[in-house]
Order: sequence, then structure tokens, then C-alpha cells
Amino acid sequence: MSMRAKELLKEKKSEIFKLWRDKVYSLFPEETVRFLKKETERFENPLGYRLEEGLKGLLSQFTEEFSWEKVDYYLERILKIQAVQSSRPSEALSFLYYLKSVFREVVGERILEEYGPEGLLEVEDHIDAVILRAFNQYMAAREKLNELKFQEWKSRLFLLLKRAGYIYDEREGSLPREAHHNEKTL
Amino acid sequence: MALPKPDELLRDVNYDRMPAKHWMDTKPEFRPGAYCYAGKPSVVEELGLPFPREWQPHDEDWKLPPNWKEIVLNAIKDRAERFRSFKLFMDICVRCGACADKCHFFLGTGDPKNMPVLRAELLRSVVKGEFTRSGKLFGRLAGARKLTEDVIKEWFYYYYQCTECRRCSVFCPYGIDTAEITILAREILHEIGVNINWILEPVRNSAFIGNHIGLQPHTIQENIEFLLMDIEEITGLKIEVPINKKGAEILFVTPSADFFAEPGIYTFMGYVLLFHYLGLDYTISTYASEGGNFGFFTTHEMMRKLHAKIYHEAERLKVKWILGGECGHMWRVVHQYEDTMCGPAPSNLEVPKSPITGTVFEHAKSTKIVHICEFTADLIAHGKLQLDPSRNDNYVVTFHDSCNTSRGMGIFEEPRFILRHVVNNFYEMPENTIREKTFCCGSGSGLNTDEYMEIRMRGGFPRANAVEYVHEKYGVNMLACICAIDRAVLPPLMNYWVPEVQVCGVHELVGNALVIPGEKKRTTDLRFQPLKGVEEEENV
Repeated sequence: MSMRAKELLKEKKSEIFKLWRDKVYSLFPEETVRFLKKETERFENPLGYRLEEGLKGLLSQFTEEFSWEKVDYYLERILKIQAVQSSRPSEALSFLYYLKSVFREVVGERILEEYGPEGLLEVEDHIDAVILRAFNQYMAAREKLNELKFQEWKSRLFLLLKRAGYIYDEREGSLPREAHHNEKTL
Repeated sequence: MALPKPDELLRDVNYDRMPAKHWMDTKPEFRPGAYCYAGKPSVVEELGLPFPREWQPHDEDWKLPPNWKEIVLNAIKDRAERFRSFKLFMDICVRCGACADKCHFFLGTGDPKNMPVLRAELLRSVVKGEFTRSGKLFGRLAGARKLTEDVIKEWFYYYYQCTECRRCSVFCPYGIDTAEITILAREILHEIGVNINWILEPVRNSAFIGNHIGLQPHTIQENIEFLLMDIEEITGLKIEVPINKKGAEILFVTPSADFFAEPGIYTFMGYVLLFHYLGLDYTISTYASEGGNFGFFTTHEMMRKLHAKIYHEAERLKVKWILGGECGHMWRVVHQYEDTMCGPAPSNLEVPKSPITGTVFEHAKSTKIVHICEFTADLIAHGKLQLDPSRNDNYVVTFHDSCNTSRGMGIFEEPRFILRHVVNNFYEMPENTIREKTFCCGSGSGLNTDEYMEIRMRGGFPRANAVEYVHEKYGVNMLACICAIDRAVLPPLMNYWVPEVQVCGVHELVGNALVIPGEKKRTTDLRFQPLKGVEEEENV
């Protein structure tokens, strides 16, 4: 999959990245933004490191060869953060909507001039598709959070449940996966 | 033609950008996942704590007592008089910012009020605004403000968004210990009935029954017997665990989660195998069946009350010394308070001496309690254990320093020394994320409850991030630790951020590696996972 405007986007890559990052960071308080930008060592600033890595990774799908495999990889890494940090789903996905804005602001007019509306629509269609894909990742992370809660309760009461025969325990292999949840294992 | 700007539309998509306001003007948002439930009235009442009532943090009206302000101001004054550290910490910060980016909650949430400097300022500003002339005169210009109900809500939100891990204090040039500020802030909030149930319920159970979940003596015994059956299946050894045995040499105290929770039970099996191997004369107590001390997260007095049970049992059972299991804050309480506000230890206790190696644990001369990692490391150093580390070859292990045992008492080498002898594959996480700079699990200090999952995942992110690195680089699949809260909360943390990594206690790995006379050829580890090589052998 290749976009006509790829070269144009590539030329303006660093400008696009900076503006995009600024828009995404506008969701954080000023003090935090200063820190997020200051130092992006992986362990001293894990949040800034991962957001930057993710945004750069996603952007390069528009400036290099577009790969769903890579898009998914970066989306997962960003959306796991968004799923625990954003107060609303729309906020969690907004960073991709901002990309649309940035593309229009920085290179929109030139894409129109050189490739016509098709050139711009092609880029924006890709962003739309990425947003849909991001929704999968967001939901997966939220589902995971929910799963953690009941798994944690099971672990907490593990021995009591095991003694009562209410645990399907893979290690014991005594109950097939499809068996009803309250069948006894002992 | 100017292209439309789509992000202008976002203003209508139902979310607000972070307002550019002074921090004193921003309020926390109590949304599900970001706060812990309030203490149940019955629990608060039974513990004799003030103002039991029905309320929740998301309520507009917290039903504070009418004279709440007076109570809080008196409490601040009282603590400032009693604790010189508190008085100093309210005064000496120069806002150099060295701590700002050292907090896992700040790194994981990006919320500036989680910068330790600002967390302390939440209280400091009120001390200034209510007690100092400059604060009263110049108000916000002097960094001062008045105490209001919104301030109380903000304190609750952020002082329960600090795990008292003390990482910030490692970097503070003045040695300001934000953990101590949090401890006192929570204590002050208790005086007006502002508390959380996840801490108080375990405190009640520990005080009245003996452990966090309220396991009765017979249940503890049945659980242990169940584990002993598993041990017999794995090793062929029939082992007994002495319970409430008077006159034993050693009282063994471990967090109660090791009796029933996964993966703590495997650590417990490790202890039991080790004690059997040594022929140790020990007992566990069903009344002091909790190493953890959630009283430490409540008030100093509550901490003392729960801590005393261990020593009362040591006295009642007439043991000579106490051996402590893999627990976190239990050790901070022992190390920092047994010699001061909690002690002295009962006179029947002696300076701990290993019956196997003869080593006298001089450092425990006054507390009479030895950490199991110290005990086991000493055994290994004297060549007293026959170990087969290849039994742990399924695991590529890294070690998480628990905040309390590392920064709270300085245990760094012993667990690593043990691990190097019981596993063949051990790799350290990056230097700035271990030892005294270790990142907290994000759920310590009584915040390990499910309603708090989102904040826990944020707070634990820096830790998980470092684990992810060694997972990618060395294929690490097992995160060893020596704390029961870690064993409870790191599994969900890993499950979310690095699902390929499991969690275990150090002594689970010891139990796997220990070659015990009379045991059958082991084919699985303590989790009933086939040992590496066994499956291939069987298939030949």
C-alpha cells in the first residue's frame, strides 16, 4: 500500500512530528509537558519515551511503506497507556484525529496542488482506517483491565477456590476448557 | 481555499483539554478506577476510629464532622510538635525539583501533583496559610492557602496516590522523606473519618483474628495440609508443619497471602521444603499469622498494635527468636520502629543464631527477627544446601527490589546471592530501576485493590517498562520478588504490560532447586509445570 503524497509527507516529517506531538501533549498540564519533552531516556521518562516512540512509529507508516503489522504494534503500545490515562474513549483516540489536522496544516494545500483531492483523501482514509484499528486496541486494553480485576480475585482466593474445586486448573488438566465453570475438579 | 481544521471540532467531542490553571485551582476528578472505596462504618467503628458513617469519595458531600477544620488544624499542630521530621519537612524544601520526576506515579500519570515536591506542597501550603504570618498576609504569593473541604478531597486523592515507596527521598538533597509526609497526612485524615476500606478491613481482621483475610486457625491448618499434599505429590516427601507449637526454637512469621493466594503459596511450599531439609525446630502461629501490617498505613498507634502481636506470640510460644518470611512493609516496621516506638522485644527472646551454621545475626540483636533471605543466604554461603539450579531452567529470572526491603532496610545482596545459586538464568534490570532506585509495584501501602486498577496500572508502568526491556533483551519470563504485595499485584501488572512474564517469590525457586534426601525424582516444579528436559526424556 503506498500513498501518492508519501514523498511530500516524508519531506515535512520532522515538522509534522513536532506539531503532532505538541497537539497530543496539549492534553497534559504544562509542567508535565516540559518534563515529557526534556528527557526521553527509556527508564527516566517511560511515558515520554513510549509516546514519542509510538507517534514516530505511526508517522513513519505514512512516510515509508505502510504496514498494518507495524501500525498495530505502535497502536497497542500507545493505547495501553491511553486506556488507563484517558477519562473518555474519545480522548484516548484523539491523538490520531490530531494527525489529520497536522497533515492538513502542514502539507494539505501542497497535496491538493500536486495530487488533487484524491491525494489528500487517500491520506485521510488511511488515518480513518488507523482510527478504526485503534478502537480495537483500545477495547482490548479495557477488556484486559476488567479481566485483571476478576483474575486478581481468583488469585487472591486461589487455594480456597481450589480446595472447593471451583478452579479449572490448567496445570492439573482435570477439567476440559469447555466444561461448565462450576463443575468440580476434585 | 483554506482547508477546514478538524481539531476545532474536537472541542465538541466531549472532552476538555487540561486547563492552564494554577495548581491550587485544579480539583481532582473522582472517577471509577482512580480512587479507593471509603471505610465501612462497621469496620471503622470496631477499630475505634472516629466518625464511622456511610460515604464515598465520589459523593459531593463527604459528611465531615461539623468541626472538621478545627480537628485537622489541631492534628497538624500536634504532629508538628511530636515529629521533628514532619516539622522540618514542612519547612526546608527549596523546590530544587530533584524529586519531581522520580515518582512512579508522576512518571505513569503525568499529573504534576504527583511530583513529590508538589505532593508535599499540598500540605505545606496549608501549614503556611493557616499557621504562618507571611502565609496569612501574602496568601498565594507566599505559596500559602486556606484549609477548605476541597483541600481535604485533594489530600485524600493524592496521599492515596503515593505508595510511601521513598524513591523520591533517595534523590532529595535534604533527605525529605515524602513517605513520612504521606503517612502523617493519612493519619490526620483518619481523625476526621476520611479513610479507605481496603486498608481498614485487613487491619480489623489482623487485630481480631490474626491475618488480613480473617482466616481462622483451622482454615490455616487445612490450607497448609492441602499444600503439603501437593508437596508430597511433587517430591514424595511427607512433611508436617508445626502450628502453635510451644517451646519451638523459632517462630516463623510470613504474610498470610502465602497461605492461600497464588503465587504466594508456592513461596510457602519453598519455605516448608527448606525447613524440612534443615530439620528446623520451628512453629508458625495462627494468631500472629500475618507479616503484613496495614496498621502502618493507618496510624502509628495502629501499626504498633498489630506489630505487638508477633512479639506477644513469640513470648507465649516461648521461642528463642523469630524468622520472618518474604514480606515488604513488615520489614520496614521491624527495621524502623521495633527499636523505637514498638520495642523492646520480650525478654525470653535471644539474639538469633542459625542452628545450622552457628552464625549469630548480630544486626538483629535488639529486634530478634531475621529475614529469611539473610538466613538462606547464610546457609548457601556455608555450603549447607544441595541445590540443582537446572530445575529452574524453564525460567529466565530478573529480580524486583521491593521498596520496603530495599530502601526501607537495605537488603540488596542476599536475594541476588540466593538467586545466583538456585537459577541458571538471572539478569538484572537497568541500573536506574533497581536497588535503592527501584521502581515501586504501584500498588503498595494498601492500594492493591481492584477498584483502583487504572491508577495501579499507571503507577506500575515504570516498573513494567524496565521488565519489558529485560524480557525483550534476555527473554526474561519470571520476575522474582520478596514481598507479598508484590506477589499479589505484579501478576496483573505484568499481565497488562508484559503478559509473557510471571511472578514468584525467591523461596519458590529455592524450593524447586533444593535436592532433598529421600525425595523422589521430581518431574514438575512447585507449580506442577514439567521440568525442562523431562518431557523430552519421556518422549524418547
